[in-house]
Amino acid sequence: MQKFQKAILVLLSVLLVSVISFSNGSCKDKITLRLAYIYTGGHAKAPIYEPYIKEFSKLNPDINLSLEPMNGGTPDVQAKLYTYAAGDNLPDVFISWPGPGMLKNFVDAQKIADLKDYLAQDKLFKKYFQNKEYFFDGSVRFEKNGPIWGIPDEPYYMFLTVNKKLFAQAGVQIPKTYEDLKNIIPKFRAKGIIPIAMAGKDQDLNVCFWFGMLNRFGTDQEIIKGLTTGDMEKAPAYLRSAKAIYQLAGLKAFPEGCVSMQSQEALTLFDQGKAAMYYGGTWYLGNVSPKTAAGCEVVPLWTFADGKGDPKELLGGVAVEYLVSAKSWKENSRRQAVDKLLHYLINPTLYSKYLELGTPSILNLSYTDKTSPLLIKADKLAKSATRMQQNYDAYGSQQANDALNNLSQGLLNRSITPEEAVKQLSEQAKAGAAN
Amino acid sequence: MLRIKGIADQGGENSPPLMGGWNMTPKKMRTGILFLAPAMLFYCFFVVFSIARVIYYSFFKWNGLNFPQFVGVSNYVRLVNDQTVLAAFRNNLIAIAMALIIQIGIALILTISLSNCKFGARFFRTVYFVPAVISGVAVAMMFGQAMNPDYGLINTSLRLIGLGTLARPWLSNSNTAIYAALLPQTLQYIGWNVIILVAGIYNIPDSLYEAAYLDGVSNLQKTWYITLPLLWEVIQICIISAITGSLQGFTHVMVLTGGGPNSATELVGLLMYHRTFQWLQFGYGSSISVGIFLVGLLFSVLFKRYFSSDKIEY
Repeated sequence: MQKFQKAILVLLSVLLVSVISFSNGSCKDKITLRLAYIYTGGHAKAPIYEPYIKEFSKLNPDINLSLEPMNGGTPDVQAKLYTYAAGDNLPDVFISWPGPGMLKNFVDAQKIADLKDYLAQDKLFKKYFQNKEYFFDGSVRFEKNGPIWGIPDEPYYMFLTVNKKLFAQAGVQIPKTYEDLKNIIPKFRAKGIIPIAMAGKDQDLNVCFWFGMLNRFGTDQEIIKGLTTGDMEKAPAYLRSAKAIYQLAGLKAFPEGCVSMQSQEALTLFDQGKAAMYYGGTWYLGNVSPKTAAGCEVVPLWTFADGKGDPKELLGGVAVEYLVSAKSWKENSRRQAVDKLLHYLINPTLYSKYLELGTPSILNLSYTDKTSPLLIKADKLAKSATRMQQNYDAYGSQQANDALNNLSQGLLNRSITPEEAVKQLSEQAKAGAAN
Repeated sequence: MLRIKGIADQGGENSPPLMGGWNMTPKKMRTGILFLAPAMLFYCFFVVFSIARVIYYSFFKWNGLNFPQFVGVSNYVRLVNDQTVLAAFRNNLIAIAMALIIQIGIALILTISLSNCKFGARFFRTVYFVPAVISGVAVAMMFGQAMNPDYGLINTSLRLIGLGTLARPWLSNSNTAIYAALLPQTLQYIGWNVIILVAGIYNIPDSLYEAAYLDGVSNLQKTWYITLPLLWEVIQICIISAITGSLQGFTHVMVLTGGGPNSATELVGLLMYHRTFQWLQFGYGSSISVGIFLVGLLFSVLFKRYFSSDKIEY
């Protein structure tokens, strides 16, 4: 019996040792790189991006690319990246949202590489970003001539997308002012049309909508200061925008139960011709089918009679960028592999495919007959803008952004007054700044 | 020969050595320890060590990336003064109440019905248990669709039977969201309780029911005077697991509402996740975890102290 037990123990040990040796041996000469990305699942870019990156290992047999898709809303993906960073286990290359607020924790803890010298020396990247250094400012570079913490992957701008057919059906004009908007809401409702597609679950459409309102009511300086310090008494734009959202919810401008909807669900309402408009960024254009897109128009958000914001300014900048783990960047052989991967990812071949989805490109690419007509209209609108302002959540702490999301839900379902919402937002922004 | 004081001692020196029991040679003992060691090491590393680390970090301010800064009990002071935590804890109490009333209540009714069922008891037992083996995420997503205000099963059915005025956005309305978000987890584990209770009910000797039958008692009296008292020990197990399970509630609410609208469905487990991994407050998040552990322990101890009865012998 004892001999039998010993034999089993020896056999198991041999098996374990051989499995470990085999797994090490198979990748002995390859460098394994980890790439974490968000273009997966229901993301409009997923059908293009995922097959494209799977080709990388075939084209580069010396590199084994380990793919780590990150599903979920912005806070969940951020949480995943922070957890990686806390375990000193960040992927070699990963996608993140830009801005000093979003990247602060990575920068302070020296977890991401400064790519300033690399971008200045690399011939191709130098060419790509020539005369486009404005992409870096406020997104991956936070001080003049300072470090550059990532490579922009996708630019964006925000606007109102309207379904002209539904406007004609309701017999109304595209709203230019807030008063126009209030007047047309009952007319849409009378025809069974949802005036504005909205969702509150994944910190996207609802937060963008609040930012759009803030941009119209106040100056960028006062809004950013309010969000980064919590000093919102001096920024009346917060209360006035909160009041506008609360009022619109009361007028039934949004779908019933929008607070528990995902942005993609809300955009489906728009795409199916059930909702007349939505306010959001270019990253949503891929969710609008060509059939619906053909009857759509993109216009600036309505203005408020006493708003201090520049009506010709658009919210926009860099939507996402690639960051490189500082640990990987220190190792020479790994750095070379990362370099290959970055060139494969920031590439005209891939970006030209995105044009069909309506995703603008950081590279100078020509439109083709397959380019989304909405993107062409949006690009035209962007060119007519006096300036672009990076979305405000790029500056706020995670705590402030989280509060903004929660409180906008409260305004949308009218469970909180605008005054109370701004008071709570101010408290959370102050606490976030202190942490 | 080494003898460990235990049940083998009761049999005296001449009692035969028990296979795998307490009466064993040092060599056998060593082998036993060797076999147990890997599991114990895993357990100590992943459970005991982790709990100790969580308690340790609850006394620090730490964002997971920088050097932890000792802050004494300030995380605990913040915890008891945090209105969001109190609101989340209130939601957990609602979860406990729903689990006790709906989950265990329905499980008891089904168990008693099954015990009286002459045909198909096995089939129904399996059917009731099936939801418990489905992933919580899948169940939550199904309920999410059913509760859709526009095309969901619940509102559509209400409209069909002329009760359209009762239709509402269940998950978006701050007044109904918590009940709607907790319903899937409450219903999903009914079958799990049924299995435990059925095991208990089958242990009640038939002779008691036969005697009651001869005395001419009704079915209701049989349930009240025989089944429930003799099942009480098993019901206690269900109650304690319902309480601890409700305190740990996370998956269903995370999928359905993520804690919204405006924190109306926040549970302490969810709050711990938000504070730790989204706000990067690992120290404060750890203190919330310790709080959940202590409250769970307190509930279990109090329950055992005030509601447990002496062991029932048939």
